[in-house]
Amino acid sequence: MRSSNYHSTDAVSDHEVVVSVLKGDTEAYALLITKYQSKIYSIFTRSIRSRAVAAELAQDVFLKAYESLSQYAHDKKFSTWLNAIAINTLRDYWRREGKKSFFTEELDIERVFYDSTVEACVLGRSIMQIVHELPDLYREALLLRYRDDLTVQEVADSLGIGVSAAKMRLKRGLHIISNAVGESNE
Amino acid sequence: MNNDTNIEKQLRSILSEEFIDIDPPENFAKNIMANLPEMESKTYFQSVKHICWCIWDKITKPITFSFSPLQVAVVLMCFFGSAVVFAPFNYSKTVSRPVAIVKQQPVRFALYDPEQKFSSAVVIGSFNKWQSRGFEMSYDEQQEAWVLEHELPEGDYEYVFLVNGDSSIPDPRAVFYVQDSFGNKNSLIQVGGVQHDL
Repeated sequence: MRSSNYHSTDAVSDHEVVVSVLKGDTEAYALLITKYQSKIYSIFTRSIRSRAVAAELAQDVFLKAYESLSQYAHDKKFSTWLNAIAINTLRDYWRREGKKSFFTEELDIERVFYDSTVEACVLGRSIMQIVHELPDLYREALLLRYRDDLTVQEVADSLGIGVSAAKMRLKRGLHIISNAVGESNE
Repeated sequence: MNNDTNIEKQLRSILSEEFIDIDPPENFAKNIMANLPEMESKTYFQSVKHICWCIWDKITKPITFSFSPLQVAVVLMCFFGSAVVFAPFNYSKTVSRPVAIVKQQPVRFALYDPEQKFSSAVVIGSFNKWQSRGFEMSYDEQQEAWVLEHELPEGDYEYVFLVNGDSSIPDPRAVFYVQDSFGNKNSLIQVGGVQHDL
């Protein structure tokens, strides 16, 4: 096994590592895996109960990214590009499983707040629990924006959607949480 | 709005504290590295093909230009402004150009007069507006003829010899003759091989 020219991603940018891999330094790709494996793996574990399936899908993400590394546009962050591949992989998974609603892009807010069973679930729960129960695309959008502190453009890139769709998703996500919290406090 | 802001603050705090990414199983990275496909190294031909495809892609895709009304106004002002400033200059150049490129051809006129019956001979014609000045012929003893060598621009010219200052005779050795509107017979000379239906 050949050793890479790089030993840590701290000193070099993702862009430099990608260029190096494209030039034939395959081992350098391990640095990108190490750097982003937790982030990508966690996207799947938040949505899928089986850790084994989550790990398999996360590995697929890194393999897909490697195969299409030459298509990576260097004006974007590598992390957002990788995240978009992960989100697509997750969407495909739920589509195959026949549970598209888990991953629905259009959330019926009226239904969420006036359906008695959903309302009962939401009331009295913490923000943490509410975020956990949000459909994947809303939860991931909120995490990228408020935990990872990405810009709206970067959130859009990370989810593979347009800026306006990302804004709408964040707005609706916040709306759901604020309403749920408000009702639980009454 | 305030409520939203509070929610956002709470979200930032809760999500960063509670939603911590978890590590994948052991050998996660090693498994991926073991399954990496061979990276295709591009041959010279593939590189050229890729470049050609990129160029083709660029030139066949429609391009959209966007501009504001202010930009249009500025461009139009510049265009018409430059047209006004440079128009006289260009016009004078256009007018002077044909004069500069006209070719001058040497022409030789001769009026045979072995007995020197004429006291003077001048060539007049369409090339000098039928004026005698500057086209006076001189008598050549050896040739026994009145001769004049001159340069004329290419073209067809009618001419006659004005002898003794008062009578005109066509060139007896001319190849072509034409009748003018007054019924006179004028000789025709073609300078520079200009051909016309006569």
